[in-house]
Amino acid sequence: MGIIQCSKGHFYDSETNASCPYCKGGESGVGVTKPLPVKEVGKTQALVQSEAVVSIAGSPEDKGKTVALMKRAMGIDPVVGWLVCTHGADKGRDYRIRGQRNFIGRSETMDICIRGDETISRENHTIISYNPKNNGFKIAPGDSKGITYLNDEEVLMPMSLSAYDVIEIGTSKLTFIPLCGERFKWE
Amino acid sequence: MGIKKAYEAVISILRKTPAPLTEEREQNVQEREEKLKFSFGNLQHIGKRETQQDAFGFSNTTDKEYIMQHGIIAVVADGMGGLAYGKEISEEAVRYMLAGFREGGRGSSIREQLLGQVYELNGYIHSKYQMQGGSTLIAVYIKENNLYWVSVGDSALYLKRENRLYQLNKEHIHYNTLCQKVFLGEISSNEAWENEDKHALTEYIGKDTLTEVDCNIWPFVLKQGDKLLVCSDGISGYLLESEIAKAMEGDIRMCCQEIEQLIVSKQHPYQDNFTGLMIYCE
Ligand SMILES: [Zn+2]
Repeated sequence: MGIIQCSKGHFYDSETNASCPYCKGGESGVGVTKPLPVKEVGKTQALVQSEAVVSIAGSPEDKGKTVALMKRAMGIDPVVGWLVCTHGADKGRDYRIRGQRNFIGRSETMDICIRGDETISRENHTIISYNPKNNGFKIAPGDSKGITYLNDEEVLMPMSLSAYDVIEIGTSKLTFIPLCGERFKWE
Repeated sequence: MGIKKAYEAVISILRKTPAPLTEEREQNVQEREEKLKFSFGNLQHIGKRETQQDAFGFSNTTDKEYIMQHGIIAVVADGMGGLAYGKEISEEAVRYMLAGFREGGRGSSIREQLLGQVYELNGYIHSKYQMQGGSTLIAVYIKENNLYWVSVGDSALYLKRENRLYQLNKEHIHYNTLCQKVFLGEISSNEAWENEDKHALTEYIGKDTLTEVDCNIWPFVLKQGDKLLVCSDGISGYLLESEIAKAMEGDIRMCCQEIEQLIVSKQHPYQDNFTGLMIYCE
């Protein structure tokens, strides 16, 4: 049997093929820099849209093709507030808070990932939750070793959050800015 | 302190990500089984499309020493046809996963490594292509008898074990979201079924933020005789599971030929590109 593996990791029969048949015609100028057409696929657009989902590719000839769905901000996963890093390695950055529980940590798998601060636990340092029923926010300690402070007080139990509260985790300080509250609520 | 402990216990039940696999447990799982040998096969076809936007690759499987040390990774990416750059992105995604595999461990557990790589890849593709293109991605990683997978989008991982076929990954399609709504009584099952967007992807590589990545928590222990099929939806979306199961009966290279011939013989007018990678546990 002449089954061999090409440099890209494809298996093919070298007795019936002079070179890898899967590489042939496969290359499409990878690595060649091409200008990207500028198109408005903006977040503003996504925010304004209503319940319906947005297909990026929806023309009839695309029928059956793999189509992407942009989750519209409303209904599925809307932003309900922000954290802004006001002190620490990521000073100046903002983080989106979405519905239900938001897990905060250094790992990319976290809902809110604060990469720069090595003193923050990788996973579940702190949890911020938004309750759509009462339109309120709470902060709770995660299950990691790291302590969370809210306005200089240690967070041991879930506590309510108000605008401009300061959350301290690791060596970072985050200011809480709600979008949802008395003046606004997603319908 | 009593309250805090109780609260922590509740939180650990509610926690979203499980604790990383401890060495001890990982070893226990491995020792239960004899070490397996693997053989491989692959198939790819353009279908009724003008371009091939699927990409795939295996890590080096010829060097037994290397496999013992590093394991095996197999990757399939299905570039998104409706968007520009589908092929480029799927090729890049496969290369990225294979390269990351060669560089070896960063995170503490295999799960964390796979997830980390996928999130990194997504960030890279998103910033480079700015939602002008995307790709699905499915990768399986095998170390000794343990199988791990990571998947974003609607590609599939099947296990054929003792005449039964199992799909191991969860597909990120709008239909699954709709089914959840059916479960909550928000819509009827008919509404879910008739939704025009039901096949649309809810997650893909190149998205602004990945909200869900499918990745197994504990290693899945493979057994002698198991066959794995890692494929794009050009296979899983066009064949019945019973057909896939039947086609996966013989020798692994025959299986690949059979799947290809079966799809070609169906002559579906919109047949998508299709790609399948097979791994047989000897
Ligand atoms: Zn090749």
